[in-house]
Amino acid sequence: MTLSDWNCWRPVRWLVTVLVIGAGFAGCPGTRDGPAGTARDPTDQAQPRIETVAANSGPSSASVKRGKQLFDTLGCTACHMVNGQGGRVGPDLSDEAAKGHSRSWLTTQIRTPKANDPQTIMSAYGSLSDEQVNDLVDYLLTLSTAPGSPTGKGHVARPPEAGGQAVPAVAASVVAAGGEMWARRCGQCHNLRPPSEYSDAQWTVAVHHMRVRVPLTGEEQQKILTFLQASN
Amino acid sequence: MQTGRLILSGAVFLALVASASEAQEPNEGGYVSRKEYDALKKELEEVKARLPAQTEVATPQAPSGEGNGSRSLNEKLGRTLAIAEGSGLGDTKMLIAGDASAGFFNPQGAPSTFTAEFNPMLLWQLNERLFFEGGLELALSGPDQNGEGSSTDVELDSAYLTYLLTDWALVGAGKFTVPFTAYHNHLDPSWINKLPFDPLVYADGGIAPDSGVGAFLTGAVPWGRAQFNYAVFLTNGPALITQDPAGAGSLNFDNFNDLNNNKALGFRVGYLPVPELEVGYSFEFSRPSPDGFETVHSQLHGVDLNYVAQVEQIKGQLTARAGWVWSLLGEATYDPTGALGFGPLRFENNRNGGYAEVAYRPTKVAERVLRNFEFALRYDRLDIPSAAPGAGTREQWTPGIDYWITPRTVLKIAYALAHGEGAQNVFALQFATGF
Ligand code: HEC
Ligand code: HEC
Repeated sequence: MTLSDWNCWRPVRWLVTVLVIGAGFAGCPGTRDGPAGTARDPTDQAQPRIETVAANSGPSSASVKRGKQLFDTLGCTACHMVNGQGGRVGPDLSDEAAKGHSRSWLTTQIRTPKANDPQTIMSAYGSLSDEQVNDLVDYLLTLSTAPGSPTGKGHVARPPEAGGQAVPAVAASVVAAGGEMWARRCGQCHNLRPPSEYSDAQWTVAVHHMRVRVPLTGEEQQKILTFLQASN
Repeated sequence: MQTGRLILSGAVFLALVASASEAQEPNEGGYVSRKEYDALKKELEEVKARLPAQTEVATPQAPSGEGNGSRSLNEKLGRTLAIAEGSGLGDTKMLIAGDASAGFFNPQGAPSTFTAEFNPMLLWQLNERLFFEGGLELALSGPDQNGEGSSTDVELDSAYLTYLLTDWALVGAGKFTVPFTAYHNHLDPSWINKLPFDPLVYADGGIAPDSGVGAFLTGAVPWGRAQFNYAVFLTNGPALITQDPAGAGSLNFDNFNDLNNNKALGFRVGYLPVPELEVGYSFEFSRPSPDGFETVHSQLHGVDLNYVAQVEQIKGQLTARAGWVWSLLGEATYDPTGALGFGPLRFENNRNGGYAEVAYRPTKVAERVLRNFEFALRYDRLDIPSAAPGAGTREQWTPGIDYWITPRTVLKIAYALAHGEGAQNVFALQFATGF
């Protein structure tokens, strides 16, 4: 075959036809700003950038509460189960104290998980303040599945109380929902690729690619992207 | 022919990379990025806010000096903004992805060989709705023991544009992986496939389409807690091989230059009752009918299954995958006059084959090193009608062990135990990475 008998017009004709039809669709009222979801710039989403929480010393009930808030907001639940709720990507965290994990070990695990396991896919939460990591550790160390403990069997995880929180509630639920979707949806064909692997812009492209190949709904694309961009 | 395709695909890829990188380098290409645009806009707004006060003070004292200065500044900023807005490329985002692998294959009673493959892919999000994927397939086969047969194959693996219509639909056109059953579209990149081989039915000489040139419509639709997805595609259909004595009656899917106006029309419907499980049904109809074979219609049916779950009881991840394809072409006589030296050969040309595979990775055990191992076992099979060239049943059992160096880098070792016509056991070692 030579270049001259390469019949390039037929595919081109198809391409043009489809693009014209596509453009027609886009022009229809209701589709442009419709539920396509992706039409919105993901950076418009309230990003779960955490404000510094008031300094705190020792495991007070306030710090435990803040720790729980952070745990939900940061999307830890996407990968970790606590009291029967959450993802299965990482270990159940309901019994960290009983496992003998120290305060400093947990701090390292949260800040630089690769120091504990070079191959982990857990994201490094290196940009959290010392107080925030303390709050998270306080929260984790109070958890126990032992009968009789406050978080033991029968304890129902309650959604974080509204008001007076450092983190916008909408971001918390969006990140957590996106994280759960990510954990259940993105490991079906290949291993989960760690959020830390890509920048925000790179994830935008990769998740769009997956929307085309898998395919995903616009809502899944949006939510999963929000989680990945908040956790990288 | 090989060279023509090579040059063409190389040129297409280079052109794309060139135009893409131009768009990515705002300062050199004359474009302005979204960030710069935003910064400029903010600056202009600040200047504007200050402007009335300044001109009020400035005008009486220096009517021709200061006033003109801020006006020309204003004009300059205005022009820059117009360029930025006109470019429409402020949101351009790109990613190079793909996979690479190196392998060693040692078939019993035949020379062993090293292989290398590099499949780079350019992913380009032109805006929130328009997306481009362009991929090349570069394969290198080392020489055999006699120092012969080395080659580099370059193929344009994909080059298609998609446009998001709604939450549940998008259209695409160009050269893409045909979504006929899940295997090629979802599971065959080397960093995803748990074994170093493709199942017979999807390999060279298999009976399922791989990639095609045409258009498609696809999307996913939530259904309560379950989900459906669909893909409808129209491509240049396959070609029926009638002249080659070794392949008569089989379909050539690498047919990017259609013989006639009859396209292949097909679809796949997938159903996910829970995110862990997907089952799919696919169908493709075409008339791959060269002169003298006008009555031959091709009907392909396919089913597939994919299940991946973290199972606490076995402390790990369980994967179960399967796919089966039926290719129905009906009865025809090949080489009816005997002029080609192998006919007349008449047979009912119905073929089928598929695979089933399970894999286990102990992701939840305490032993860190053990967590990186994955154990896989595949059964695959291909049935070719008894009068056809290459007739008979080929069957393979392939156990394999993978070591995951990272979530996308793997070292695989496997041994295919083959039965049937011309079967060869093969030992294989493969290193694969996705990037
Ligand atoms: C992307 C998934 C993911 C996210 C998100 C994630 N983790 Fe992890 N985490 C893991 C994995 C996987 C492990 C297992 C450790 C390993 O890989 O070696 C782990 C381990 C841990 C451990 C040690 C548990 C044990 O018993 O060994 C702690 C504590 C922990 N994570 C806390 C957190 C906290 C707090 C957050 C949120 C700030 C978080 N993780 C977010 C995946 C994740
Ligand atoms: C139905 C199967 C499937 C599912 C589900 C899936 N992927 Fe993929 N993914 C693929 C395939 C196939 C490739 C490789 C594409 C290629 O090389 O042609 C890939 C590639 C990737 C890559 C490499 C870069 C790229 O875009 O090629 C990333 C990152 C990725 N997937 C992330 C995800 C995320 C995040 C999700 C969840 C939204 C996801 N995947 C769900 C099949 C899947």
